[in-house]
Amino acid sequence: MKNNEIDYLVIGSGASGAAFSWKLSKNGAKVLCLEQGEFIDPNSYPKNKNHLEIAALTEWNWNSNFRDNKFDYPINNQNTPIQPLMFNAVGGSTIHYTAHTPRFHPSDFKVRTLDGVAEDWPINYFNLEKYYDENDIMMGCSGIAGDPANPSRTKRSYPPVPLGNDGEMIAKAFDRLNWHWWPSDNYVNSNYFRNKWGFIGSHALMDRPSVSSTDNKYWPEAIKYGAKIVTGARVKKILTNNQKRAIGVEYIKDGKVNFIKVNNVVLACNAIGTARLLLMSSSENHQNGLGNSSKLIGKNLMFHPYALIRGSFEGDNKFYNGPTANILMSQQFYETDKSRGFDRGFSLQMVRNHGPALTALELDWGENHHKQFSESFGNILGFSIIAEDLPEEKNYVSLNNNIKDSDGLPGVNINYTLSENSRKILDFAINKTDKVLKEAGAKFTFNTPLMRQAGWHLMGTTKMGDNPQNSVTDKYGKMHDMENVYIIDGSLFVTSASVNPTPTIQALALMIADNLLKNGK
Amino acid sequence: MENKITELNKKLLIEIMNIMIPTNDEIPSAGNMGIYKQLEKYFIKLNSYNKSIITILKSINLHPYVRISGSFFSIDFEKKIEILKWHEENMIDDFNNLKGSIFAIYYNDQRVIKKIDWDQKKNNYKKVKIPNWDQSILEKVNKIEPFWKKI
Repeated sequence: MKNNEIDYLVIGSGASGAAFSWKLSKNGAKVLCLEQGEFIDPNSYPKNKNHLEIAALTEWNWNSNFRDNKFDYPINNQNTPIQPLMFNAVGGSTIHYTAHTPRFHPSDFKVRTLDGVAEDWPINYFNLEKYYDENDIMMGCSGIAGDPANPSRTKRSYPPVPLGNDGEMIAKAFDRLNWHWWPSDNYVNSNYFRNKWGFIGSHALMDRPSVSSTDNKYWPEAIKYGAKIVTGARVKKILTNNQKRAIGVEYIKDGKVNFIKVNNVVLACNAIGTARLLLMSSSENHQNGLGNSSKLIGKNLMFHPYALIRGSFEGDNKFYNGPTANILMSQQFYETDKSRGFDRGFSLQMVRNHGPALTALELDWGENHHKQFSESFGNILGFSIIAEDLPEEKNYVSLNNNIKDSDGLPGVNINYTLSENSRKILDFAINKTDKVLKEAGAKFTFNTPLMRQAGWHLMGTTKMGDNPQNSVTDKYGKMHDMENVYIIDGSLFVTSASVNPTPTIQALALMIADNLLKNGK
Repeated sequence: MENKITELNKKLLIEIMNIMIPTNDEIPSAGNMGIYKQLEKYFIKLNSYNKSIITILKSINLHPYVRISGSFFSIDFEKKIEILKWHEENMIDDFNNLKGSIFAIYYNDQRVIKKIDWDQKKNNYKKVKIPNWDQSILEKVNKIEPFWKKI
């Protein structure tokens, strides 16, 4: 492929970049993807399940600051109670996610209309529905249709992951309370579990052939259709020839700066990486960052604030058997009820006991440690509470020139404060979750009111909208200020909902790709 | 910052390990188990953990109790606990890294694995036939009318 033949230069090969590249290349477009990381060998995931717990804190840590990996960029987390998590490799954070794949609700796109908060999206659920379906098929979804909390959806590719005795115990507790629950959708082949039911840990680090990531689903197909991917290639700057048009990018590979000319640039680097690159691409014509006349690039950063509540049960329960998470979910309190004193709501996601080291880390150190451990290990079940985070301009990503990546490019600062609304959601949710755990038989419960290492979901830093003064892109991801620069990742989110965002990110990428195929802009 | 742990600070780290994870019947306390090399192998070699561990050790050495008595080793046990608790509350990330590295190595040790009956051959991918998905568990929740908000 010669440089001048590139229709779309995609930056980032994760959830969105892969889906987009597949769709465009399948339909004849010339796609080149630059990825700062490398392909990950599926055999490199920890096989020894004891070592898994060391690996989860070191080379497979979700927090890039802990990995000492030259493909990551440094992040200053001093001004945030929630630390962002990500992975930089072919497949992006799908290399390392739990593959929990619920969808947004129709109401999530209309929060201003419904609740008078934040803004409505310029698109609705039904604009995305067929792309959700398409993505579910490509990624391979286990689960079961019929959830009363959501619009109906197509038959899942695989049956649900078995609930296990503990999952059934929790499900029955929900039933007795007359609260909603439903088996989780996962991008995991549930057939894997038929003859394997023991300590598995998180899907993020389990044997990978059963877990879908974009390196093993979208990329092989995209490459078959002619898409190219260059690894170890870190984009330094998007270059423009005038105010409106990108002409190419500078990227660094093996320490050498290269220039590549392109027709269209597509950013798929997640809500921190995309904002970082646009801010690094400032120039005389774009002094606040590329395409930043709205001055919103980097702002409105949303995480999903998580709390964790655990119940301790009597007996020898072995609650560590089965996958740690993605078992079942309750959306009983998903929508706004003004009588609760906050806007929007939350989902509850059942989680099992960790292995020994990660269990121990939740307990006291010192003289009580061994007693606590013997009572707790294998006997703890709980929920992660995922709250909807509303966008606020005071939560933002900015460049930090005092910390540099391995190519000398600036790191980022995360400036984030937990809102009063989010705190109220989590407090209410902890109280409600305590009730379901006690109903299931827990002797007592304990909780982490806000999980620090839980910034799995990065959203909102270049939001889409119809008004160029109040948004960075249009509803098809095209930057308002630019003729040929598109954004396709979670940066586009106007609001966050209270579910894991990957299917929505991928559906957006597929929708944007489809629009480009149909309309060429 | 100097990234090597001095011999003196190594002794301090071992003492902290002993306090955080004391003796458990026949299993010695963490610092006396001879697992420091594992700590070095997996954690101290990483910049992030190295920095956190050295930061905590340095800060402990500067604590008023330590400066008055001349050494962490010569102060009362209660004061040692107080110093560690102060660091846990005030230097959260660095302390969590220190704690995480110690616990991960300790619970990866074969003596501990045996003690807590965490037999991987028994627990890991045990050949247990899991029954096929049984729809009957959904009987009650299926009676809930769809309640997603239509807009």
